[in-house]
Amino acid sequence: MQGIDIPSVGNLLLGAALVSAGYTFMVSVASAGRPHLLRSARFGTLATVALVATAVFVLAYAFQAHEFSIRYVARYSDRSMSATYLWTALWGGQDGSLLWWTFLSSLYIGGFTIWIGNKFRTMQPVMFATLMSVVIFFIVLQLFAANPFATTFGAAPADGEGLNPLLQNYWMAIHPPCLYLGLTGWVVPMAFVTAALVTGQLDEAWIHGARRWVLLAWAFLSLGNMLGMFWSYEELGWGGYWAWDPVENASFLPWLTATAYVHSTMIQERRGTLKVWNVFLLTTTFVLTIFGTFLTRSGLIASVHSFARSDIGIYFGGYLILLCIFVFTLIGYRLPDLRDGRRIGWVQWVVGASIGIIASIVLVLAEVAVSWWARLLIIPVGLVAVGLLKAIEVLRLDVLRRMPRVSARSQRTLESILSREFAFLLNNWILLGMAVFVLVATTFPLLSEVLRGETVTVGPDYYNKWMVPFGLILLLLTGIGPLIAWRKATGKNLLQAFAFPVALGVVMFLAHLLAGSSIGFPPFVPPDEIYETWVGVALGKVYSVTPLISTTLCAFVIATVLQEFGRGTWVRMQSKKEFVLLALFELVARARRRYGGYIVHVGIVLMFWGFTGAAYDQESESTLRPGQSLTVGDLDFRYDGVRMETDTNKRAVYTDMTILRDGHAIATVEPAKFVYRSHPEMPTTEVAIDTTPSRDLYVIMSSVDPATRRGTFRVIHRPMVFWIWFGGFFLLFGVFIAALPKLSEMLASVESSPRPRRAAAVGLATLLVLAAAAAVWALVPSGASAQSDSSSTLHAGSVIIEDEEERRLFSRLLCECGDCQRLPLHTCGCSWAEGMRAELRGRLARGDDVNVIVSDYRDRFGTSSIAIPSDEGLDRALWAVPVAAFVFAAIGLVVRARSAVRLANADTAEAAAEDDVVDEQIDAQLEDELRRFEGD
Amino acid sequence: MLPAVFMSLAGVMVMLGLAALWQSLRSAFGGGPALTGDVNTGLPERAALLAEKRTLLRTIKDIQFERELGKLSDEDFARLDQAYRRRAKAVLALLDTDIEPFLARAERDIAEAMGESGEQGPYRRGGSTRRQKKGKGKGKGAGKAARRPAGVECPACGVENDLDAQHCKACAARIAPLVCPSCATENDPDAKFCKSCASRLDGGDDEE
Repeated sequence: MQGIDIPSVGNLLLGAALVSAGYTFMVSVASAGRPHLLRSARFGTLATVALVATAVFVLAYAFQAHEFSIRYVARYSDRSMSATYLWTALWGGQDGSLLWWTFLSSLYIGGFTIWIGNKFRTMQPVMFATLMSVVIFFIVLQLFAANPFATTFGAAPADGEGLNPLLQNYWMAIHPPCLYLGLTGWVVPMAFVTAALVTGQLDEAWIHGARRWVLLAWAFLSLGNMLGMFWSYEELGWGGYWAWDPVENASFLPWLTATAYVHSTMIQERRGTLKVWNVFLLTTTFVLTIFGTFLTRSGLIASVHSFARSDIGIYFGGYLILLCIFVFTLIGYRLPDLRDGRRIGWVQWVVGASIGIIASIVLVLAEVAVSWWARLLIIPVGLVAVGLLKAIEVLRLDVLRRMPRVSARSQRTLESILSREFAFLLNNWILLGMAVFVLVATTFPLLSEVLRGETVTVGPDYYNKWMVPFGLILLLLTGIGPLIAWRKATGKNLLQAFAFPVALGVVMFLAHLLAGSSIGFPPFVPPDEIYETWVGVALGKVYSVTPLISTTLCAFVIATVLQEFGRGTWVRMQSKKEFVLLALFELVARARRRYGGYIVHVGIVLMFWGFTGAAYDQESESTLRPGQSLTVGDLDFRYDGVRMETDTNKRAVYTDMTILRDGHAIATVEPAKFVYRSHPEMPTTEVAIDTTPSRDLYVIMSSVDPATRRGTFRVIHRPMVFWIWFGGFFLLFGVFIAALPKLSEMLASVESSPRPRRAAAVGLATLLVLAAAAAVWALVPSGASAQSDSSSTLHAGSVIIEDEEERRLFSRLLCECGDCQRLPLHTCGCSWAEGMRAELRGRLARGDDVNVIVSDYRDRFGTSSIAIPSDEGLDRALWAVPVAAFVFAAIGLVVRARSAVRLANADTAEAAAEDDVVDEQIDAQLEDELRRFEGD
Repeated sequence: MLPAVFMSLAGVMVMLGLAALWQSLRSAFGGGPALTGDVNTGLPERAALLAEKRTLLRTIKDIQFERELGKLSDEDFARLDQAYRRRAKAVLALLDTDIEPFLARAERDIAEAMGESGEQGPYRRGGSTRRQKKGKGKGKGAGKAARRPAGVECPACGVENDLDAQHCKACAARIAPLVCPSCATENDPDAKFCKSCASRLDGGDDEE
């Protein structure tokens, strides 16, 4: 294809897509009430999608044809790369990944345009306008700030710089597209919610319409996050699966809010309440996906994943601000409708303001007060505050009672705190609490830099310790939610529902308590305190009992799910006289959403089970000669020898190890180092993992000297990791069940043949099957050998840690050599770190306390040099603010729920007096409809 | 080989894009095939009602099942069941009565489109009908270019009447829009219930 000026063609295509998107935007805005313009907008959307796709294919062509006149192609590929990696290089760097992002959004938008057809006609103008505004933003970004078709300065180079070897592995082909699909997928639900807000059609219709799109995006987001964990674990070779890196957090945050949304819509569908909340959750999810991109793309926060600091941050910042202003103005504008005409009374404003003021006073006191008597002031202030709130609440109830009764209010309020509704609210509370916590911790380095000019680092240990209590509460609620009755649980209900799960939980508790130690899983683990203050002690205590609580709760939740399936099947067997398996099948087929949801819960429990295993990690590191061995727990790792293999693009050094238990070989592993020809300065570490359901043996060869054959190995014994991947599979399976259109529905739509609908149904089913298949394929435990065609570690070099105390110390200190960003001393292999470790070892040997060493280190290198901010001064706000918000939200929730319960009970007495309209024909029709109605 | 594949993919895509763009422009200027819409899903009020019906039916089934599972006391079940059934019946009644005026309008639109297709495309009459209905200056009607017809056809018998006719001169069916007494929304002449607030229109029709 000589003679075609690819960069110009690319720019032209981006420009054309921009024009088309702008045109479509205007046409859709004008199309309200004009069907011909609406159809025009629909075709315009499809045209935009096709043009974006063309741009992607042109860039793909440029990669395949080695068009090095394009800067992006020259920087991220070279002539030696295979066609597959040339394809994955499309999203290997900043500019291309923005185009890829736009393309994936376009795929959703195209699918949505075909699916929607004539449904939601009055909402469509706003929907298309919303979708196009997102596309416009991304294309503008590419045209003006990060152009993938920009040309190189001067003549085109003869060869490119090549893709980073870290990215040259097959995960690169799976993980980013999945995660991007999870993140971009929220444009469609966002279009629904914007349309509902603008047109004022705020009933449940849009929620039904958006449901499958939400599930699809949620499934991809979950899958993307899981693949990220798996990639990190299998390939990056640092031994863990989740490092709480800002990029990981950026995709975890929308997952939390989206999960909260998936739960709280059930209340809206059932009770017609929580409209504002659902709208808020969904828009927040979308805003968070953009925010996450902003965080990591702008280079504002240091991260392993981050792209170079660039000026696209300002574009993202501007878009984000516009988006927030637009969305929250819209919600504010529709607030009266969303609240069914109930205004926000002044009393509620006062309540909100007082809570805010009191919270600030308490925080300021706790922060600023230097002497104990000033801190004691918190107690009287707190008492006054509680009294004030109580008074306001009484007043508010009084006002509400005297207001005219809104019809059907009794349908809309909470009737008891012991109800499914309230359990859902608690679930939202904990998920949002986690989201706020992670959000604050992720942005804290930035805030600290802006507010006080000090950079800090919030290391993974901080999250790992703080998230434990949150996670346990979430797990508990996962069990309680499904058991408790809607509206109002009575003593009898509770006993009936909870007897079996609680019993199983208790059995597990006792079993773990009594027998755990003898099989290597003691119920308590030594506390690991991240602070020297009382908070650190308390967290340490929680941490040390976590294994016991976690296994108990896991058993409890599994029992609840089993009971749900069992009871449902039993009821069907009794009432329909069906055989067990048929009854089970029919049960699930008729209420796929509910039972799909339960299967997702099983997946979550299995993942928690796997996470709990991390408390029992054992690690050892040593330098060996062939024939010598290393011991971890009851296993010996014998180093047999080293061998070298060479192929066309790399040199591989394998080391053979035999794993023995009591002298019997149980497995062989071959950790390796690869040296790629294109990047000889970056040898990659290939870990070897031996997996069984009860444990993984993770073997890293840190270094080997081919001449003397001395090798340094790090071995981690990680129990239960397998269950994380297995749970992930369950989770996807559950979503699949829940989102699957009913067979008869699909058949019916095939017969009556509105093609788009059939296509959408088939497409969705296919996508989910593919996703599940990809997950199964990806999560099949790999053999105990290095992956043949992969990479890599960020942590080259060898680190030798002698004991647990050293590990604790080094994990809290960061390497300060200037190059190794965010790497703690216990993994950093550079020579600076080696020297520092030697120095600190000396201090430990002299008997210095770990905390003293940490604070000296901080004094010497500044606040950014320690992995966890201290528990004093402004640093305390890091945990205090989210925890305070969390606690206040809980109090607010209970207070509001109690008043709602009182109001509802006052109402129902009146409601009961209403009489029924009798119309026999309608009665008969209803009976008929009910008979024919199956599932959803 | 692969570069060519990608280039041809790009070619196909750009063709599709241009075709879609052309269709879009054609539609915007009133060309293209006549518009059809599904009464069941195309009309927002109706789609919402159908969705609500589905939700209510599911909920009724659900609480029956929950009672069988022992998650709901009999007393609670009775109260809930009654409440949901009451609402479901109201929805069913609305759905039944709701559809007639739309069918009539559809017939009328089709007749008009068949009669004088050509000069301004198939939506002209749809637009003008709407303008006629919202004639009192709510002003969201179609393009200004659409000219009004000389008269208005009776929805029932098809005889052409004067523009300001309240009733048909041939069959006495109502032609002028029906204004809802409780919320002032204009409804189709033969509406039985208000499309906005669902109050009865045929009984309390006292404006004449």
